[in-house]
Amino acid sequence: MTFRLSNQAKSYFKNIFGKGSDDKLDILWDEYYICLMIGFSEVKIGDEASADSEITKTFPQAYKDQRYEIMASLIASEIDRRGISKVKDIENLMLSILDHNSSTELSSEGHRLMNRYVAGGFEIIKENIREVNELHMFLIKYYDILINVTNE
Amino acid sequence: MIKLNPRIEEAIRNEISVQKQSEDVFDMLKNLIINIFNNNDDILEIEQLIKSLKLYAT
Amino acid sequence: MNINLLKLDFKNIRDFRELTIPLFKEKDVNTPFHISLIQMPNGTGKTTAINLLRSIVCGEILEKEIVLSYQPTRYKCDEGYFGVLLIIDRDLYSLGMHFDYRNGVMKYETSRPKEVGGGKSFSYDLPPYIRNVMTKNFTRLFVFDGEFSENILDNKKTEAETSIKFLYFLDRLELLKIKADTLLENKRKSTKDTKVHTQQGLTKLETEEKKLKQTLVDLNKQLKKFKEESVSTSQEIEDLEKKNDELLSENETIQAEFIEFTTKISSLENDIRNGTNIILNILRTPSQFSLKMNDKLKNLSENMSKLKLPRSVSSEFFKELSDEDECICGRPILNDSIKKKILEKAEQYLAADHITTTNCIKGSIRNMDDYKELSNLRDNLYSYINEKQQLIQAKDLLKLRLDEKDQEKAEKIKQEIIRLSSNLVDLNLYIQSLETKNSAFQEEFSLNEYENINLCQKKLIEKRKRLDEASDTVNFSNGVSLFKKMMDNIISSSIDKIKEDLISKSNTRISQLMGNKDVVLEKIEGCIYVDGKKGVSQGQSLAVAYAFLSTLFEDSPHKVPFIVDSPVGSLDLKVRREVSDLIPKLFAQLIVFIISSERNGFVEGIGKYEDVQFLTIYKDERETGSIAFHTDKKFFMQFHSENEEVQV
Repeated sequence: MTFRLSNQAKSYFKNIFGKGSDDKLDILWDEYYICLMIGFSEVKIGDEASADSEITKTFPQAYKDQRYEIMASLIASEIDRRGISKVKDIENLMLSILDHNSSTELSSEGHRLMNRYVAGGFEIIKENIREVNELHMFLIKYYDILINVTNE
Repeated sequence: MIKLNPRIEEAIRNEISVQKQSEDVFDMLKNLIINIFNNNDDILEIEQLIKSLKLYAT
Repeated sequence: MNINLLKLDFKNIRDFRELTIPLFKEKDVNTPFHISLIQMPNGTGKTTAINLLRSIVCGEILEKEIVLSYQPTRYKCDEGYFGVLLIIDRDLYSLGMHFDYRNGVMKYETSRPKEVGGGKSFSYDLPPYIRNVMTKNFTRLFVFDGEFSENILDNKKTEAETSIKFLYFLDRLELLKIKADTLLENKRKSTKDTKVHTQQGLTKLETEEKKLKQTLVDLNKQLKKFKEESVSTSQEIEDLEKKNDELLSENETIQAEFIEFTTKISSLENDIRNGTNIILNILRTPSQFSLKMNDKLKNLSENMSKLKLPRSVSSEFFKELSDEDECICGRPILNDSIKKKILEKAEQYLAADHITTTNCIKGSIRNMDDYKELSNLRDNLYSYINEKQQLIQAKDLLKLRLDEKDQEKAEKIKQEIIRLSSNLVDLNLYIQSLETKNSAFQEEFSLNEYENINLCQKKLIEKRKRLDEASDTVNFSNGVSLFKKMMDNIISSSIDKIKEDLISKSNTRISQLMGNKDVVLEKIEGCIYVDGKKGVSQGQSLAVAYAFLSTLFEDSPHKVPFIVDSPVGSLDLKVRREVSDLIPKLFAQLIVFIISSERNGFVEGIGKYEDVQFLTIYKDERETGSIAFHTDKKFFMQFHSENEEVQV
């Protein structure tokens, strides 16, 4: 059970990624998160097989506090995607996504879904933003598609 | 137990020297031949012997 | 291999209506007499017996004409039988030939002991190692016809060399060659992927590996060179920018503005960095990511409260309940089916631990802040970026206020910076192409092992693995070739040495038998060659044959019975004594078919041995097809066959 990103995505972000640099993305999980949230927001899942590179097995320190909100986002997106509303259905969804024995509290199905939302999110980014060299330019364009796509 | 005919042993000794092989190879070959004479041979013995042969470029 | 004959059985064969010739001792039926002398007058069936023996031990299929020649002529019958009882290395075998005179065909039958497969088979079925060697010509060497001893000197009929190979076990070295080939075949099968089994293929692989190794060295050299160039180019650009700044900052008219611009740019860069980090930090909280996301989470939170999720009842509650005698409503839990129902319910509820996680999730979104627009932050950041851009342009325009000479200088510097920057981009791309491990990048630029270090290393590892496998197989194959060559040399050299021994021993024996050196065994080349100074008489060739055969069988680990017909017919009295003295010493079992005229000189010599039986077999003319059989020595010695009369 791991968080995985495609090599293609890693290659896309290479110019705005740099460990220890104060004007670049500091950790690979940032790239993962950037893709993940667009995927959640747009309820778009991609191909699991494309996620060919393992990043980490657990939530990194920088995201520890947000992890339940991230799980909540996953549940909310899956409720949307599956179009369910009954107590039993939602409870079953939670049963399949969560696993209290896992270090991330996500089941392997939960991980699989996260990785698929990442793949879906990356497709949206790739279509809308050409590779840039500066993080601030990327962020402006990212915010713009967030607003535009969200308003569509 | 069938013993090795001294003339055959002579032939083995001679061939070992012609092919510039070691004393170890001589012992292995002699044993192998005695074993096959007594229906006692082992395919691994043959493999080991072949691997021990020194190959000279021709 | 140790073969002994224990018994011969005849039924309806020529003049034998029914005859058994025992060769074993009464006291011990599995042990043959050392010597069996079988006296049979000419015309009794001696040749028939010898011929049948020679055919049966080698499993010869007889032609119709020969089959019919065994049919009795004096009385009518349709079937005949000839059989032998053999003991081979302590196992009993019964071998029989059934003759069908109506159709002129015969078939074999073999009975074997249980330990070696057991049962009866309707074919010639001796152990394979015996079948392989029992050729018609080999049997001639030990089922021997003294009257035709010249045959052994006939190169068409003897197999002196093949016999030496067999008798001295050298044929088993041929077997070692076959086994070595099998090993090689298995090895080749196990390295099927490599498919390189020849020296040529190996050389090709080695060349490819060498080329890749060199490529890797070259690529690393290139990488080093590009990296150095990249560092020096960056340095050059930095120097040029410094020079450009100096040009502007040292000019009095624009100095103040230059400093102002530079400071502002640096402060804007700070603002940009901060703005970026602020936005990034806000986005890192899912509920603040977007309005849509915030709504979604609020919805979920409301739903969870409305649906009372997670339900306060956990699966543990039902599990515990199923163990009670009474339900919470007071009704008794009577049987397993009720228990099962309750446990089924448990599966539909989250476990207590699950509930903890779900509560944490619920808690994280319960009192969520409303979404705050980021537009202001975004617009601020955008304006900082624009402002910075404008300042850089303005700073660049300052140079227009320089005097013409400095302007020219500044323009040159600018052009140079542009050129170098473009070089730097190219260099960095080269570097990346060389060192990237990213498969997406490798694919995007269709990089191959001659352009990318990582791909080259992978290919080299793969090639080395194949090379190791291939060289292993090829070396083994060369080893097998050498091994087989050595075996061939050892076999032929052993044969030569054994022949030398055979010739010298045989010659000693010949002169011992003949009392002179008129006849000498010269060489063995397929057959044996004899050099007779005064020509070779029939008697001499018989003596040579005995000398050679006895020497041949003497040192062999294989022991066969020696069966001989007319052993001394053409020999003079002195040689007869020598032969009768010599032969019994050399064979564990000797079966001699003899006529009364040969007794003189021969039987006296044999008589010295203890383990001898004397059999006399002749036709009993009083009844057609009846055969008289005597085991008495005295009878044997007094029997005269020439007139076929019994003299008591």
